[in-house]
Amino acid sequence: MVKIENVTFNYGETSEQCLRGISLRIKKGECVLLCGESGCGKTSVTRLVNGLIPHFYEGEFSGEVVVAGRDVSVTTPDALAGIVGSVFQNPRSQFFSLDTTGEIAFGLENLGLPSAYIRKRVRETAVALGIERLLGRDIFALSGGEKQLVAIASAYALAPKIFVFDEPSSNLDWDAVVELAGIMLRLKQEGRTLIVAEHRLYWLSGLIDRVVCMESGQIKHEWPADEFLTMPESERRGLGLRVLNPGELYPTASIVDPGGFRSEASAAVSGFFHPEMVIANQDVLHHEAVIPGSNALRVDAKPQEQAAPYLKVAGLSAQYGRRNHVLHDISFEVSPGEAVAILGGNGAGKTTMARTLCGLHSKSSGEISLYGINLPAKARAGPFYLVMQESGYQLFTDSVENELLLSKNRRSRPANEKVEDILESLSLTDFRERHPMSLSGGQKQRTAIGTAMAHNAQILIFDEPTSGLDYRNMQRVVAVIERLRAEGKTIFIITHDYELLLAACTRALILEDGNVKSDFPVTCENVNKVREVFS
Amino acid sequence: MVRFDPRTKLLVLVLINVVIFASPDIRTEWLCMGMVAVLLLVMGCLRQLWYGLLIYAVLMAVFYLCTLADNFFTAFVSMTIICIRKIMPTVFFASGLMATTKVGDLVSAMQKLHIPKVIVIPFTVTLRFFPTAKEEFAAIRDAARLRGLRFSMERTLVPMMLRCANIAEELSAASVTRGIESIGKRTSMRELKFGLPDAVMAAVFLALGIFAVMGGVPLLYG
Repeated sequence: MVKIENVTFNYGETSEQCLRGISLRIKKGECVLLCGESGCGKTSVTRLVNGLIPHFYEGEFSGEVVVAGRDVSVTTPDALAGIVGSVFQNPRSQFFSLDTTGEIAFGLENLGLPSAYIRKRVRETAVALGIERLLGRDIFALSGGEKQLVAIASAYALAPKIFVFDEPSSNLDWDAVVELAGIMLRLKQEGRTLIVAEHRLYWLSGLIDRVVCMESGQIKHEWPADEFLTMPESERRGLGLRVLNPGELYPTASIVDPGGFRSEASAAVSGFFHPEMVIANQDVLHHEAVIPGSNALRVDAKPQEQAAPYLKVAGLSAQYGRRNHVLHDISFEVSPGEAVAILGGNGAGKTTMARTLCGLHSKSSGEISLYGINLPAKARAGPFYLVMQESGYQLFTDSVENELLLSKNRRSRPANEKVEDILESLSLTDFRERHPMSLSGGQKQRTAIGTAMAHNAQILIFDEPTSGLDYRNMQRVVAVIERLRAEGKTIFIITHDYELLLAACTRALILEDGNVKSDFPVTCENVNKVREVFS
Repeated sequence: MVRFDPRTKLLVLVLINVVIFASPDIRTEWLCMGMVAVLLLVMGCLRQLWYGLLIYAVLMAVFYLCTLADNFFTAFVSMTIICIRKIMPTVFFASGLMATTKVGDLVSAMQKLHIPKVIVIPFTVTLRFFPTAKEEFAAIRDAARLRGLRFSMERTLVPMMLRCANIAEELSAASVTRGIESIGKRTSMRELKFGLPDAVMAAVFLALGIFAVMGGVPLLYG
């Protein structure tokens, strides 16, 4: 069905070779997993099959690719459109229409099929994939998982014999991944050939027939599925692959004693305010809190009690508009050095909670306080920092170093030695001159974390920090989080990544319909409780 | 709710522009706004209708207030309002057009009008980009707020352009794998057919266009 013969390719004259002498044959009806670390060339192999290489991504190409009896180098991508269906990583950037039905019809319209047939085919597709509920919807209002199903449907409508998936699960939550796996199984049962490039493996174990492992543009290993599935976890890890049997994992995050940080963290927090405000011991005082980069802000400072909790959230509610109540009366306390996983399904309120904590969204009632000091929204941006899923948004300057130095005003500019330390501790020293946009996803993320450290953020909230990361990069994220915790920072992580959760989090906070459903430490005894959330 | 052929809607869009720029008289503009409002009502775009009229009413009110005081500032505001007002009927109708037209239908309609593909594809990609650009802008604004940075063109637009360039490339790759470059004639899910409503709408706005070119409302007062 697919024959790749000794293909070498690089994207531009200057860039290094990205595929080096690849040869691969895939039989009809086979499901092949392409795996390997980020940058190993697995995405490029998928592009050979759908013709984007060499037709869309131009470069130096040699070798031969034959798909369903056609030589790809002389077949235009639109001729391949009815043969190979492609599903990409980012559900945000693969839609052409604004509505789902139009999107599923889009390919059929391009190929000039009669209107009546298009309508019939869109219907058939929705029925075959069990997604009738998604027809006629606004694409921008869909969840990531739903978008990915529509992407599969729009490829399916053209009845391709081959499906190519490029990291289809990386932006999806657990439930959506399960649904994705179900649909892919159906495609396989219909006799279609599936080629999947992926980091996350656990959801593919019932699907794959063969595994191809790549390394720097070459095929390093090839196994039949059963041999791959039965090899020890450590061997797969050595190849940079993510966990296959999440059931065998146990919590490994180190426990940090919060007591040791009390004074230290208190001092750091007081860095955001005039010191007397934190020390103040009498009546309610009005003091000017100095928030890096903005105008001075008045904060109500209450006398600090002896054992005032570090971060206290009490009766927090938030809403969008007048009617859409998202969070209801949420209360919890957190100590320095804790890493709290925020879990829950779509619409449980995870994102709203993160945004409210950082002061991006204003609460409708309740209190958020650090060491007994109630902080209004404006005062929270600074001590609280959100590391976004696409951290590229958070970088504004022309080099990594300037990024760390960029601050609201001269007074809050971090010292040079501090910047040095941060660059070193995040292994960014070699990239200090690089433009942030030229960095890899993991490097951008570390730069964003660096800016938070440079400005003494005490509470860091990570939104899906490991989406699309391979094992080694995930380990890096875990190491950075451990280091931050050891410095007494408090970490929140919104994640669907079970492997990350067990490796990095000490506590789980489960939200459901805007309420705290449960809140417990992540320990070996509790591991079943965590597993429940993911099943 | 009446459905119109996308080609008729495009024609009306052009005619509205003719009306606005042919006639400097404000009453003709009101007439045109009124007719677009009725049209949106017929097309079932209540949200667009409500917001459009609201914005227009606010603009008119501020404009009126400006005529009460006569100084440099009010003259400047009035000028700005006139500029915005001039494009209001077009934007007003365009919002309804986008809400009721599938991108695929629009592409096919433009192709049937023999508009070349090099214009059609960028045009539709641009339309597709508005909601994306809105999302991107909101994310960058949030990121700036997190760091207490004030809005600046350089800090907002540069990351936004880079992000959008990225998305545009991924979007193009996705559309290529779905046959956008196909040489044959493109079809559409809904058959494009002129009906009675199209004829009525086209005739009414054509009449309005001719009326405006001949002089608009002042014509009636001799």
